Amino acid sequence: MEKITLSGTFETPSVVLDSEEGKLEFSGRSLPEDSTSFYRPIMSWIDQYITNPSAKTNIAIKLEYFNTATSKVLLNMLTKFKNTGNVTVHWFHFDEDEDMLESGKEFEELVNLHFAYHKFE
Amino acid sequence: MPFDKISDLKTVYELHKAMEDNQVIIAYEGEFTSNITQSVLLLAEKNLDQKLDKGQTKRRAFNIAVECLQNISTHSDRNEEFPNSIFIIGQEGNEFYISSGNTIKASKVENLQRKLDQINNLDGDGLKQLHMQAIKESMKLQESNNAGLGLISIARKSGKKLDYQFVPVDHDNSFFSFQAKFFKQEESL
Repeated sequence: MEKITLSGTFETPSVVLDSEEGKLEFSGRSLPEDSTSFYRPIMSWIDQYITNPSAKTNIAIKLEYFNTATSKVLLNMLTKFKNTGNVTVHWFHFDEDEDMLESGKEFEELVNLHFAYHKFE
Repeated sequence: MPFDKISDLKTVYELHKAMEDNQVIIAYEGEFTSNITQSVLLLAEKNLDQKLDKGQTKRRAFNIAVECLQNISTHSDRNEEFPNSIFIIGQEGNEFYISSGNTIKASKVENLQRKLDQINNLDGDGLKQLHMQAIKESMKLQESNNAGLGLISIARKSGKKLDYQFVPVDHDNSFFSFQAKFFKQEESL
Protein backbone atom coordinates (compact mmCIF):
# COMPACT_ATOMS: atom_id res chain seq x y z
CA MET A 1 0.00 0.00 0.00
CA GLU A 2 1.08 3.51 -0.77
CA LYS A 3 2.49 5.51 2.09
CA ILE A 4 0.65 8.81 2.58
CA THR A 5 2.37 11.90 4.01
CA LEU A 6 0.60 15.25 4.32
CA SER A 7 2.08 18.48 5.66
CA GLY A 8 0.01 20.38 8.18
CA THR A 9 -1.62 23.76 7.58
CA PHE A 10 -3.32 26.35 9.80
CA GLU A 11 -6.45 24.18 9.86
CA THR A 12 -5.34 20.70 8.89
CA PRO A 13 -3.03 18.19 10.57
CA SER A 14 0.22 16.63 9.40
CA VAL A 15 -0.62 13.06 8.51
CA VAL A 16 1.54 9.95 8.09
CA LEU A 17 -0.08 6.67 7.03
CA ASP A 18 2.43 3.84 6.75
CA SER A 19 1.05 0.33 6.25
CA GLU A 20 4.42 -1.44 6.47
CA GLU A 21 5.09 -0.03 9.91
CA GLY A 22 1.42 -0.16 10.90
CA LYS A 23 1.66 3.50 11.81
CA LEU A 24 -0.97 6.21 11.53
CA GLU A 25 -0.06 9.62 12.89
CA PHE A 26 -2.01 12.89 13.07
CA SER A 27 -0.29 15.92 14.51
CA GLY A 28 -0.83 19.66 14.85
CA ARG A 29 -4.39 20.83 14.51
CA SER A 30 -7.51 19.64 12.79
CA LEU A 31 -10.06 22.40 12.29
CA PRO A 32 -11.50 21.97 8.79
CA GLU A 33 -15.10 23.05 8.53
CA ASP A 34 -15.65 20.32 5.96
CA SER A 35 -13.85 17.57 7.86
CA THR A 36 -15.50 14.83 5.81
CA SER A 37 -13.84 16.00 2.57
CA PHE A 38 -10.43 16.39 4.19
CA TYR A 39 -10.53 12.92 5.76
CA ARG A 40 -12.14 11.10 2.80
CA PRO A 41 -8.83 9.86 1.24
CA ILE A 42 -7.57 8.93 4.72
CA MET A 43 -10.71 6.90 5.41
CA SER A 44 -10.31 5.10 2.06
CA TRP A 45 -6.71 4.29 2.95
CA ILE A 46 -7.85 2.87 6.31
CA ASP A 47 -10.62 0.82 4.68
CA GLN A 48 -7.97 -0.81 2.55
CA TYR A 49 -5.45 -1.13 5.41
CA ILE A 50 -7.80 -3.06 7.72
CA THR A 51 -8.30 -5.76 5.10
CA ASN A 52 -4.62 -6.68 5.53
CA PRO A 53 -3.27 -4.91 8.62
CA SER A 54 0.25 -5.03 10.02
CA ALA A 55 0.88 -7.33 13.04
CA LYS A 56 0.70 -4.25 15.25
CA THR A 57 -1.10 -0.99 14.54
CA ASN A 58 -0.14 2.21 16.35
CA ILE A 59 -2.42 5.22 15.91
CA ALA A 60 -0.89 8.42 17.27
CA ILE A 61 -3.20 11.38 17.88
CA LYS A 62 -0.87 14.31 18.56
CA LEU A 63 -3.32 17.17 18.16
CA GLU A 64 -3.28 20.43 20.05
CA TYR A 65 -6.66 21.42 18.63
CA PHE A 66 -9.51 19.68 16.91
CA ASN A 67 -12.99 20.97 16.14
CA THR A 68 -16.25 19.11 16.70
CA ALA A 69 -16.46 18.33 12.97
CA THR A 70 -13.17 16.47 13.38
CA SER A 71 -14.27 14.65 16.55
CA LYS A 72 -17.10 13.09 14.58
CA VAL A 73 -14.68 11.88 11.87
CA LEU A 74 -12.19 10.69 14.49
CA LEU A 75 -14.84 8.53 16.13
CA ASN A 76 -15.75 7.09 12.73
CA MET A 77 -12.10 6.42 12.01
CA LEU A 78 -11.31 4.68 15.30
CA THR A 79 -14.48 2.60 15.05
CA LYS A 80 -13.15 1.12 11.80
CA PHE A 81 -10.46 -0.70 13.83
CA LYS A 82 -12.86 -2.53 16.16
CA ASN A 83 -12.15 -5.89 14.50
CA THR A 84 -8.42 -5.34 13.93
CA GLY A 85 -6.10 -7.08 16.38
CA ASN A 86 -3.25 -5.41 18.30
CA VAL A 87 -4.27 -1.77 17.94
CA THR A 88 -3.00 0.91 20.31
CA VAL A 89 -4.20 4.51 20.23
CA HIS A 90 -1.47 6.84 21.49
CA TRP A 91 -3.23 9.94 22.75
CA PHE A 92 -0.99 12.97 23.29
CA HIS A 93 -1.73 16.06 25.34
CA PHE A 94 0.11 19.01 26.80
CA ASP A 95 0.91 18.61 30.48
CA GLU A 96 -1.70 21.10 31.67
CA ASP A 97 -4.26 20.40 28.96
CA GLU A 98 -6.81 18.47 30.98
CA ASP A 99 -9.47 19.02 28.29
CA MET A 100 -7.45 17.09 25.70
CA LEU A 101 -6.77 14.31 28.20
CA GLU A 102 -10.50 14.10 28.96
CA SER A 103 -11.31 13.97 25.23
CA GLY A 104 -9.02 10.97 24.97
CA LYS A 105 -10.80 9.23 27.84
CA GLU A 106 -14.13 9.92 26.17
CA PHE A 107 -12.99 8.40 22.89
CA GLU A 108 -11.64 5.43 24.83
CA GLU A 109 -15.09 4.99 26.36
CA LEU A 110 -16.76 5.21 22.94
CA VAL A 111 -14.53 2.80 21.02
CA ASN A 112 -13.33 -0.55 22.21
CA LEU A 113 -9.58 -0.01 21.70
CA HIS A 114 -6.51 0.14 23.90
CA PHE A 115 -5.42 3.71 24.68
CA ALA A 116 -2.01 4.88 25.94
CA TYR A 117 -1.65 8.47 27.17
CA HIS A 118 1.45 10.54 26.58
CA LYS A 119 2.50 14.08 27.38
CA PHE A 120 4.10 16.26 24.74
CA GLU A 121 7.74 16.82 25.59
CA MET B 1 -26.82 53.33 18.97
CA PRO B 2 -23.94 55.47 20.16
CA PHE B 3 -23.19 56.57 16.59
CA ASP B 4 -25.48 58.44 14.25
CA LYS B 5 -23.56 57.85 11.07
CA ILE B 6 -20.54 55.63 10.69
CA SER B 7 -19.61 57.58 7.53
CA ASP B 8 -19.02 60.77 9.54
CA LEU B 9 -15.28 61.24 9.89
CA LYS B 10 -15.48 61.97 13.61
CA THR B 11 -17.17 58.60 14.05
CA VAL B 12 -13.91 56.87 13.14
CA TYR B 13 -12.35 58.20 16.32
CA GLU B 14 -15.48 57.55 18.39
CA LEU B 15 -15.71 53.99 17.13
CA HIS B 16 -12.01 53.45 17.78
CA LYS B 17 -12.36 54.88 21.28
CA ALA B 18 -15.46 52.81 22.08
CA MET B 19 -13.75 49.61 20.94
CA GLU B 20 -10.64 50.44 22.90
CA ASP B 21 -12.59 51.32 26.05
CA ASN B 22 -14.51 48.06 25.74
CA GLN B 23 -11.29 46.09 25.20
CA VAL B 24 -12.43 44.63 21.91
CA ILE B 25 -9.84 42.08 20.76
CA ILE B 26 -11.32 41.47 17.34
CA ALA B 27 -14.57 42.44 15.63
CA TYR B 28 -15.64 41.47 12.14
CA GLU B 29 -18.89 42.29 10.38
CA GLY B 30 -19.61 41.02 6.88
CA GLU B 31 -19.93 37.88 4.85
CA PHE B 32 -18.57 34.63 6.25
CA THR B 33 -17.27 32.50 3.41
CA SER B 34 -14.87 29.64 4.21
CA ASN B 35 -11.89 31.79 3.24
CA ILE B 36 -13.01 34.72 5.34
CA THR B 37 -13.81 32.49 8.32
CA GLN B 38 -10.27 31.14 8.14
CA SER B 39 -8.76 34.63 7.94
CA VAL B 40 -10.82 35.85 10.90
CA LEU B 41 -9.71 32.80 12.87
CA LEU B 42 -6.08 33.47 12.00
CA LEU B 43 -6.39 37.06 13.24
CA ALA B 44 -8.32 35.95 16.32
CA GLU B 45 -5.56 33.51 17.23
CA LYS B 46 -2.79 36.09 16.81
CA ASN B 47 -4.66 38.51 19.06
CA LEU B 48 -5.52 35.84 21.65
CA ASP B 49 -1.87 34.76 21.75
CA GLN B 50 -0.93 38.32 22.69
CA LYS B 51 -3.58 38.56 25.41
CA LEU B 52 -3.42 35.11 26.90
CA ASP B 53 0.00 33.53 26.45
CA LYS B 54 -0.07 29.92 25.36
CA GLY B 55 -1.93 27.96 27.96
CA GLN B 56 -5.22 26.39 28.84
CA THR B 57 -7.25 29.63 28.69
CA LYS B 58 -5.95 30.42 25.21
CA ARG B 59 -6.67 26.88 24.06
CA ARG B 60 -10.22 27.07 25.39
CA ALA B 61 -10.73 30.53 23.90
CA PHE B 62 -9.46 29.41 20.52
CA ASN B 63 -11.67 26.30 20.59
CA ILE B 64 -14.72 28.44 21.37
CA ALA B 65 -13.78 30.87 18.58
CA VAL B 66 -13.48 27.99 16.07
CA GLU B 67 -16.90 26.57 16.95
CA CYS B 68 -18.60 30.00 16.98
CA LEU B 69 -17.18 30.91 13.57
CA GLN B 70 -18.03 27.54 12.07
CA ASN B 71 -21.54 27.74 13.53
CA ILE B 72 -21.99 31.03 11.71
CA SER B 73 -20.76 29.74 8.38
CA THR B 74 -22.59 26.41 8.63
CA HIS B 75 -25.89 27.41 10.19
CA SER B 76 -26.69 30.99 9.25
CA ASP B 77 -29.33 31.40 6.60
CA ARG B 78 -27.75 34.07 4.44
CA ASN B 79 -29.75 35.59 1.66
CA GLU B 80 -29.60 38.72 -0.47
CA GLU B 81 -31.41 40.77 2.09
CA PHE B 82 -29.37 39.53 5.08
CA PRO B 83 -25.94 38.51 3.77
CA ASN B 84 -23.88 39.53 6.81
CA SER B 85 -23.02 38.17 10.22
CA ILE B 86 -20.95 39.54 13.10
CA PHE B 87 -18.22 38.08 15.31
CA ILE B 88 -16.60 39.75 18.32
CA ILE B 89 -14.01 38.76 20.92
CA GLY B 90 -13.56 41.11 23.84
CA GLN B 91 -12.51 41.39 27.43
CA GLU B 92 -14.06 42.82 30.59
CA GLY B 93 -11.49 42.68 33.37
CA ASN B 94 -10.62 39.02 33.86
CA GLU B 95 -13.59 37.85 31.87
CA PHE B 96 -13.46 37.25 28.14
CA TYR B 97 -16.44 36.98 25.84
CA ILE B 98 -16.95 35.68 22.33
CA SER B 99 -20.10 36.89 20.62
CA SER B 100 -21.65 36.08 17.30
CA GLY B 101 -24.74 37.22 15.46
CA ASN B 102 -26.32 35.84 12.33
CA THR B 103 -29.66 35.56 10.60
CA ILE B 104 -31.53 32.27 10.73
CA LYS B 105 -34.92 31.17 9.45
CA ALA B 106 -37.68 31.88 11.97
CA SER B 107 -38.76 28.25 11.63
CA LYS B 108 -35.46 27.13 13.23
CA VAL B 109 -35.70 29.34 16.31
CA GLU B 110 -37.75 26.98 18.46
CA ASN B 111 -35.46 24.01 17.92
CA LEU B 112 -32.28 26.02 18.52
CA GLN B 113 -33.74 27.58 21.66
CA ARG B 114 -34.65 24.14 22.98
CA LYS B 115 -31.06 22.93 22.41
CA LEU B 116 -29.58 25.99 24.14
CA ASP B 117 -31.93 25.67 27.13
CA GLN B 118 -31.16 21.96 27.42
CA ILE B 119 -27.42 22.76 27.50
CA ASN B 120 -27.88 25.58 30.02
CA ASN B 121 -29.80 23.29 32.39
CA LEU B 122 -26.92 20.82 32.68
CA ASP B 123 -23.85 20.80 34.91
CA GLY B 124 -20.40 19.57 33.81
CA ASP B 125 -21.26 15.86 34.15
CA GLY B 126 -24.57 16.34 32.39
CA LEU B 127 -22.81 18.11 29.51
CA LYS B 128 -20.34 15.27 29.24
CA GLN B 129 -23.17 12.75 28.96
CA LEU B 130 -24.97 14.92 26.40
CA HIS B 131 -21.74 15.24 24.42
CA MET B 132 -21.23 11.46 24.36
CA GLN B 133 -24.82 10.96 23.24
CA ALA B 134 -24.60 13.71 20.59
CA ILE B 135 -21.35 12.46 19.08
CA LYS B 136 -22.81 8.95 18.70
CA GLU B 137 -25.94 10.42 17.11
CA SER B 138 -23.92 12.69 14.83
CA MET B 139 -22.30 9.67 13.17
CA LYS B 140 -25.69 8.68 11.81
CA LEU B 141 -26.59 12.18 10.63
CA GLN B 142 -25.77 14.10 7.49
CA GLU B 143 -22.44 15.82 7.13
CA SER B 144 -23.45 19.33 8.14
CA ASN B 145 -25.67 18.23 11.00
CA ASN B 146 -23.75 17.72 14.21
CA ALA B 147 -26.64 17.36 16.66
CA GLY B 148 -25.56 20.54 18.45
CA LEU B 149 -22.05 19.20 19.13
CA GLY B 150 -20.55 22.65 18.56
CA LEU B 151 -22.79 24.32 21.14
CA ILE B 152 -22.18 21.57 23.69
CA SER B 153 -18.44 21.90 23.17
CA ILE B 154 -18.61 25.69 23.59
CA ALA B 155 -20.57 25.28 26.85
CA ARG B 156 -18.00 22.80 28.20
CA LYS B 157 -15.03 25.01 27.33
CA SER B 158 -16.72 28.13 28.69
CA GLY B 159 -17.90 26.63 31.98
CA LYS B 160 -20.66 29.25 32.09
CA LYS B 161 -24.22 29.54 30.85
CA LEU B 162 -24.58 30.45 27.18
CA ASP B 163 -26.31 33.78 26.58
CA TYR B 164 -28.52 34.17 23.59
CA GLN B 165 -31.28 36.27 22.12
CA PHE B 166 -33.50 36.09 19.05
CA VAL B 167 -34.68 39.29 17.38
CA PRO B 168 -37.26 38.86 14.61
CA VAL B 169 -36.11 40.86 11.57
CA ASP B 170 -39.09 40.09 9.34
CA HIS B 171 -41.81 37.50 9.02
CA ASP B 172 -39.48 34.66 8.00
CA ASN B 173 -36.15 35.53 9.62
CA SER B 174 -34.70 36.07 13.05
CA PHE B 175 -31.36 37.47 14.17
CA PHE B 176 -29.60 35.08 16.55
CA SER B 177 -27.23 36.78 19.00
CA PHE B 178 -25.02 34.42 20.97
CA GLN B 179 -22.36 34.86 23.62
CA ALA B 180 -19.99 32.55 25.46
CA LYS B 181 -17.96 33.87 28.40
CA PHE B 182 -14.93 32.49 30.15
CA PHE B 183 -12.54 33.55 32.87
CA LYS B 184 -8.84 33.89 32.37
CA GLN B 185 -7.33 31.15 34.51
CA GLU B 186 -4.18 31.65 36.46
CA GLU B 187 -1.79 29.29 34.74
CA SER B 188 -0.49 27.02 37.44
CA LEU B 189 2.33 25.59 35.38
